[in-house]
Amino acid sequence: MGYYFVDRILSIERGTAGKGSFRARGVKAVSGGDAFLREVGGGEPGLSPSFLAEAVGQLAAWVAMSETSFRRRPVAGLTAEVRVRGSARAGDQVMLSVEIESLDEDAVHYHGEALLEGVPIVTLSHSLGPMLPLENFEDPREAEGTFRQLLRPDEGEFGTEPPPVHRERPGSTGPLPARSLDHPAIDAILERDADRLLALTCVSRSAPYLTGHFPRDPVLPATLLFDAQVALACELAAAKSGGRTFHVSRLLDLKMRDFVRPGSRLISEVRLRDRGETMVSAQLTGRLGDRVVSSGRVELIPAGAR
Amino acid sequence: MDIESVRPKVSQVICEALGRDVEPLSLDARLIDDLGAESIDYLDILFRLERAFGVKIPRGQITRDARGELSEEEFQQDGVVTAMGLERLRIHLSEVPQERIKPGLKAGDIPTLFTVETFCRLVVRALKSRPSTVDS
Repeated sequence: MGYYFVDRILSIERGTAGKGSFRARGVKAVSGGDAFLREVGGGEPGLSPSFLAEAVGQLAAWVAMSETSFRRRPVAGLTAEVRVRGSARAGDQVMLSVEIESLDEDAVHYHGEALLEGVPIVTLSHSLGPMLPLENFEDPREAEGTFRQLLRPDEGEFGTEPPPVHRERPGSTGPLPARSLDHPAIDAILERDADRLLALTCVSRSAPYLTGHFPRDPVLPATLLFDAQVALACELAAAKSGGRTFHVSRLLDLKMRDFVRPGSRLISEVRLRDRGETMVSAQLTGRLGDRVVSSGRVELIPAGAR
Repeated sequence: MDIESVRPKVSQVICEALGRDVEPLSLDARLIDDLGAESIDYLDILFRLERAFGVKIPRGQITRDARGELSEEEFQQDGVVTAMGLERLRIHLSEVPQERIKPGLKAGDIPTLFTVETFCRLVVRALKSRPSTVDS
């Protein structure tokens, strides 16, 4: 299981919005053999919105690494908003688009989207990744080699984007996993009441999700953690509403404040906040001991409300 | 536009970025030692300040301003702030108690000096340097 969500980079344009700006396009093919597939609708496997956002972020990361000659790379960081309009199922080809607003030795600032049949299904706004020495995380030559493999400019086959396999429901969305204990980043539910839940994540060096993230310094992927917390929030909201299914509408103020390395026991707290007829909001917090290492919010809407 | 006038909104931004209850912060509160900020929080705070005040604050602006006219070599050597650099920091970061700017300070540790007032000053400078609208 590698932690790679960009299958091909189609183009990188420089100076699209002034010095230090870039525009890049890429592809993520969603296969039934993919790691991190979950049930996204009608019982079919697919890639949840969190990982589509990760794919957009990884495209930005490839550009950032390339433009710093593989000396620096963005790691974790923060995103002000991820707006979700759908998810992708096995068989879909997702186009990735990213606009890098600024890039320097300290940080990359970008926004972007994942599109299915030309329709944005996930949109990221105001994302920031701190740039750190790449050699601390992986072999720069291997990273450059992978980049060369991925960079295959559009030779026409993507000029007309092929339709998704599931044409009858293009850009469809569906429930995130109802059973959060199935999630690879949740080991146990420690406490639970109607509005709050505490869950445990033990980070084992042998966890498959650490492969590639990163070879020289394995750390829990922030997206995987947020995906687990969102699954918990969906489950909490569903239980409180008598089994109604909830979808992610927006993720807000996501921030990973520190690395979570193997051997750690991380406690996630998911707390339902505002509750209305059409939207439920939950606060997501990850702690190592008393220290908050991740934070964010999720807005959920009932199935059929999108 | 002065420090006191921007302080409430700067306090709000810092509290929100750090996941704390929003409250007026003391100007001399240290971001790392007193408020528990991590390095990613600095990026977040600058980002939020830009949006809250409608200004542009390039990353690294505080340390660039602190260095002033000094060259990189004059300011630091082998990652340690030089005597000239320390002198410059004492002038630029006048809100920081002088005893905290001492010989042996690593350039990478300069952010540990920052206080709430440091960010208020940054915003005031950014607001003053913002192009003014010309009345027709």
